[in-house]
Amino acid sequence: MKLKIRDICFYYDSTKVLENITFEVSEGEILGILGPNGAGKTTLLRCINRVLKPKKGSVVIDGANIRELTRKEIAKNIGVVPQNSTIHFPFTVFDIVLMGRNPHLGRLDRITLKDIEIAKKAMKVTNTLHLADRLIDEISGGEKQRVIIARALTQEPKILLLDEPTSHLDINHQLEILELIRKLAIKNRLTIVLVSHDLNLASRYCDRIILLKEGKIHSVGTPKEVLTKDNIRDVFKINVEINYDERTDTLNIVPVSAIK
Amino acid sequence: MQENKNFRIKRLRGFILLSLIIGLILSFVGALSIGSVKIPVDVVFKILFNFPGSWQESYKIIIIEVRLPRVILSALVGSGLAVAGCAMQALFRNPLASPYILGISSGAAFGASLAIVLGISFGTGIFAVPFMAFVFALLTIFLVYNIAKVGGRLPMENLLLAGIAIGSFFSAQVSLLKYIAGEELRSIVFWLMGGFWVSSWDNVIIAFPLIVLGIVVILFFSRDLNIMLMGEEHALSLGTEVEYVKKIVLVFASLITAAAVSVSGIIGFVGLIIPHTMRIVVGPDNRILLPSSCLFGAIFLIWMDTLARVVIQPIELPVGIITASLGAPFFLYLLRRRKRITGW
Repeated sequence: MKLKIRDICFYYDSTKVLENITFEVSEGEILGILGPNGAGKTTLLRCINRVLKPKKGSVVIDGANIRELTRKEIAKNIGVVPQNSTIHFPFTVFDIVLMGRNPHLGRLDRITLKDIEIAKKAMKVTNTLHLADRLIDEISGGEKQRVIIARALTQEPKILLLDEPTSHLDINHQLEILELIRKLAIKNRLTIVLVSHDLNLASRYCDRIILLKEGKIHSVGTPKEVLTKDNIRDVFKINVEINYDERTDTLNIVPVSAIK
Repeated sequence: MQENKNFRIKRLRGFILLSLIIGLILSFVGALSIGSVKIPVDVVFKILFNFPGSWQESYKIIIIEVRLPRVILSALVGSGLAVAGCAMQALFRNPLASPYILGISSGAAFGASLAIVLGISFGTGIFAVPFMAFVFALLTIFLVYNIAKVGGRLPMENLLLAGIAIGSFFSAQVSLLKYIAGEELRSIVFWLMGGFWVSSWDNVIIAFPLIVLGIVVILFFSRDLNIMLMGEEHALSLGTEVEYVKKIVLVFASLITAAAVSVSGIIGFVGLIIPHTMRIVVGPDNRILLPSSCLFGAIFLIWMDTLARVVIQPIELPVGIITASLGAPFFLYLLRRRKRITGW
């Protein structure tokens, strides 16, 4: 499903956080949003699924402006993996994943076998089925992140938004999560928007990248087009060396010095 | 394997609910039988269901006119406060939340004290105190709600702070009334401690529809409350209308609390500890936690009130003293027995 963002502006009180953001993401594509702290990455993600309401502009999925959709209709189309997933309540992993069926259930509906099947399928894909009976506050960070992805998949969305899904994870689990995300884009044909801090991993896994600077789009394109020395200096205020690594077909970005 | 597990959990939940329902029925009968006049259980049954038999005429009056409304009222208040407390804890995602957290109890206390001090009466006079308590409870939540609201949103921290501020204000007014009350001081103090001294069928008729309606509405929102425990951003992305759920649950939890407080005064502890106790037993899932808290709250308060009636006959203790004195050690026992430390 195609996701179209048109001319979005967002303010916190009178501070402009996002200014005239326009882009599109196609089915099966992974779009990375990169930028320094405070560039508006998370705000942009929140505007896409209408957790925040932009002052101007529109988000269109499958030809429908999400402003006209109910919260449940949005949740049927857009799954989200938020940045902060600390859950202090001892629900089982299976209970948490089943919560993904919420947008499909009316207030009086009960969970059916079909819902359980969908949840189990999502847990197979994310390799969390063996955790089903464990308590959410007792599993590791990497496992928890996969459980939250499983919950998002249980919504059966066409679009998946992920806010720094690999922060707080060790390098092994970072790769594991990103491989999973790539699989979801290629095999399940999901439209994926990924906010990241890691230039190297983003360049390796994203099909296209948007660089955000002070609430505006600085540059858009393939990782090779966008992640240049000049752009990175301009946006992140650092000098870098960039090597092309043939083995992984990715860029290897090495920070050299910060610009005062 | 997961279907089996799901099935097992459903059966276990069914078993817990069934035990609590049976417990509630036994508590009803037991509480009707126990008192300054002991009435055998079989006689209680015969009187309740109008079976033929012979017993002292006064038994029927004691059961139907004195004990039955009182037991029903304590069950209503117990289940109402437990459900309202459970809902508040879920909304605030805070283990210290109780039905009184938004100052409703202080508002009600002010209304009741005012009625007592001014000797307000509408015709019969009996209704003035609960009526004023109810009106001021609703006024309190109306004020708190509107002060806390920002645009169309209701930030929980605003709500909490507004509740504490308004609650403190009314508490101060209650203190003022106590200070100038003179002979009425004793009535105010008694009302504040909470109890079922003046339980009548009138009270039952007032409280029953409000509390039952509130409980039923909140039960319909159990799944939403589960999702809200994940945090507002998660809840929104899972398709929950967070602001709508907050408003509805808040309004009905407040309605329950206002009704409960106006007929029984401020009975502490029940709304805080019953949800915690049941959480230790059945876990955090509101779909089982709310109904089991509801039933256990009723059982708990029925027995606490029965104790209050009989423990130092012929004098009656305020039930609030009993709930805290016995409930606290019981809860601490459960807390120590619990193996896990996480969650609440």
